[in-house]
Amino acid sequence: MHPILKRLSSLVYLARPLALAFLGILMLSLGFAYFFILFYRTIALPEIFQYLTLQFLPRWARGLVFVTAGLVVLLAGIWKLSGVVVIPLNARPGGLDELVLGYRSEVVSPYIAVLSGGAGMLILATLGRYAARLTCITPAQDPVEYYYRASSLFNVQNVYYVAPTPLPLQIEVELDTGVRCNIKQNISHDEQLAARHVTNIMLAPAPDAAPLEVTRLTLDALTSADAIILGPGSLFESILPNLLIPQVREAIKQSKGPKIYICNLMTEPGLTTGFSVADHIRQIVRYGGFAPDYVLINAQRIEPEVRQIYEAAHQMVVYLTPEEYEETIVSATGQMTAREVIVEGAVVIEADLASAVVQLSASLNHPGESRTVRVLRHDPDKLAGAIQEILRRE
Amino acid sequence: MSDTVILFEDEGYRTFLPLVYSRPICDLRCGMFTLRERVAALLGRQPAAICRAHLASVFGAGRWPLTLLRESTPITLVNSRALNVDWLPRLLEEPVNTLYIADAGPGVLAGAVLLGARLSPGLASAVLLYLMEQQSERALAELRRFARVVEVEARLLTFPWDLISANGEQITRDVRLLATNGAWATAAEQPPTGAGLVIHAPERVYLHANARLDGPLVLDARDGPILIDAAQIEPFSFIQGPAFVGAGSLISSARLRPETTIGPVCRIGGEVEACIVQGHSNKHHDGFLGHSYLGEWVNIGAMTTNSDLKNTYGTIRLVLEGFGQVDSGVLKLGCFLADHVKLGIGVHLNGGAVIGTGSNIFGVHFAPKTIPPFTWGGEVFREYRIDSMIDVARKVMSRRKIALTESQETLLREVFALTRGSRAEMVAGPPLRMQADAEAALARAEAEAVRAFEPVAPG
Repeated sequence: MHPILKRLSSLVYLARPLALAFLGILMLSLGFAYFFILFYRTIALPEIFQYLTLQFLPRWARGLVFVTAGLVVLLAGIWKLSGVVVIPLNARPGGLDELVLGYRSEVVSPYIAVLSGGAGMLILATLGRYAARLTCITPAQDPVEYYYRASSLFNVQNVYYVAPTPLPLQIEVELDTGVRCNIKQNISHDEQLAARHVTNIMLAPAPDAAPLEVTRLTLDALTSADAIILGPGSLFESILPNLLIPQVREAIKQSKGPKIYICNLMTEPGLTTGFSVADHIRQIVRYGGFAPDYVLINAQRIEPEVRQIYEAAHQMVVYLTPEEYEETIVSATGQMTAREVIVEGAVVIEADLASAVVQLSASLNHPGESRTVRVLRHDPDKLAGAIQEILRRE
Repeated sequence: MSDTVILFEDEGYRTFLPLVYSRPICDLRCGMFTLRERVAALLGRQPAAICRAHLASVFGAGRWPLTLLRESTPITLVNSRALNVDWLPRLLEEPVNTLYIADAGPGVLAGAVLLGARLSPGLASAVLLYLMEQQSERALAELRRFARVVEVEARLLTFPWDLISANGEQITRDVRLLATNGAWATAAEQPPTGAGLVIHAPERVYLHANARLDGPLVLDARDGPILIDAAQIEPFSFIQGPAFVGAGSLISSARLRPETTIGPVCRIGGEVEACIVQGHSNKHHDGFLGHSYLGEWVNIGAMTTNSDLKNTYGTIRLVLEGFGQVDSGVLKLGCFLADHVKLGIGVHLNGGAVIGTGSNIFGVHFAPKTIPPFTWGGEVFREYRIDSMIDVARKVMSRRKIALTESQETLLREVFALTRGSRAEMVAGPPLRMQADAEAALARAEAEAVRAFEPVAPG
């Protein structure tokens, strides 16, 4: 019953014009009926009309036949209309993209700015299909051409990568042991640091002490964005480095679009070991000076086999712990089925965001030996769907 | 690895409409080459180009040219309106993040204009988006913040008539790009054989190894070089330098006056003076063409002639799209015919006439001075149905063994849609019935067009 009502509900915009049309048809029918009666009584019609007008039946039966037939035709017409008027533009679960009598129910191609890096940036490139432009601001320490090279392997559209500064910056982190190292030192691959986490992240002083200048395109993309997305990607390697730049922080604050943080699925060895969802958000608040409006976290159950693989690599699922909740809220639209809570001032939305993928893994020590492992990755389409859902409610 | 060289269009493309509706400015010929060809000849490799969205699939690096920034080597930008690029080798030697600016001169842009730049990929990423939208002023403002600025004396094409006025000088300058090409030699080094060849200043006549000269003919290079690629010059032709004839072209007993460029695969007859024929175009019969520019796939019927000098010896005015009537400031100026224009027989064109892309004009003695793209007619003008225009283009190109690709067809359809506004003032309603003589003229024009595109006879 629900699918039928859902389909018919698409005619809500047509209820009044349809009612008016029905009234008109009714009045026309009455008018024609009077003419027919006039003809009956004044003109001698051939005998066949007796059968066509069902005169072999009593009057109540004739009325019933016509009313029933009319009702069936009317319902069939309305049913057909409900299938024609609502035009699915890009059929997906959720029915976000529908055209109802020229009214576009989807958010009209937003301009989106992304602060991310690594593979996460490429995962989010899928969102370019739904955006007027997806401006990806690459991590301050990364050469921008890496992203162009990687994205040229895919058919991404409307995605533009821009470096926040013309030359890459040097970013340093301090671990809980007090050790300082450059963020590009592949900390997460160092077995000895796996149990550690970062306590501080900072810009290394520029050798020429020149003032830090940020590209105009970066600032424009942030200030004029309909949404700013942080992640998916490494918190300390991909997201926080750009938040260390004062102009970037200021531009984000000036932006009127919602700030959406896509939280990591797993902790990163040597960087975020032991971090919960709230710990991730706190780092953004600490270095960015703002709390994201929304935080997307994965609600998908993780199979024990996959969990064990991650645990062997010193990685844990990033949990949303109940003691960190501040408040539970109910979605105003009623369309979101996900649970929503507020943590550190951000609305946390749990949704199915990930997919398990099979990955070929090789060891540097034994390059000839490779094995396949099941790993968990953010799913581009699920992420795009979740972000669109947020943009629709804004 | 060497730099990634990218030709970009700036805001100045607007003054070249309608010539550049169907091609970027870097693909307009001036001298021997287009800018793209000139840079390729200079560097020995093809440059990339970023241009308006509707041109990007055919002429650029695609609608979303992300691949341009994928290398870690510096990005070298070159303004598509640059005429001569003798400054480019110097720019390629400059440290990364160096900017060349030049005086904008008159035109759309005021002050200094971005001529070229050698940038790190990071800085290039900060301006590529602006350049994809032809916002060079914004790009320049941004680059000034981060890059070393060098002022350079260089000429930029500003108006369509610059192509004509600069052509002779540019042919002379382009000669040096042949120095490394072993297929060329001067007539003094390797005198051509054949009866009746009269060559003045043979040391300035450059002939491709496959050039074919059928005497009697006269090549007069005393006032400038003559360059003949693998083309055929038929008897009784007279060519005065500076002049260039492109590969695969046929000069049919024509008089080519100085400062004339004939692009590849053209058929030229009659008298041609100080003109540029982009390529794959025909003006096979008698009739005068002076100080004019012809795009690609243009056909001009017999005895069609243009005026290039006013009886009053005043400067020629012409209408530039979006700018209204503009005084060119030059005494001699002919017509500008965009790509795929077809003119019937006996059409007379005024000095400063501009005919837009794909228009088909016939059966009229004096054509109007300004004709929008995709116009059909003579006595009465109406919109040329795009399907018909594309059918004709396909037919014409197939006669030269070239297929109209899907992306080229899309481009033409997009230009048709883009220019619909310019045809809004055309006579509405059904076209007037043509007179008998106009019908005969139409039949003659069609027969003429078919003859003109017959393939060149081998051998």
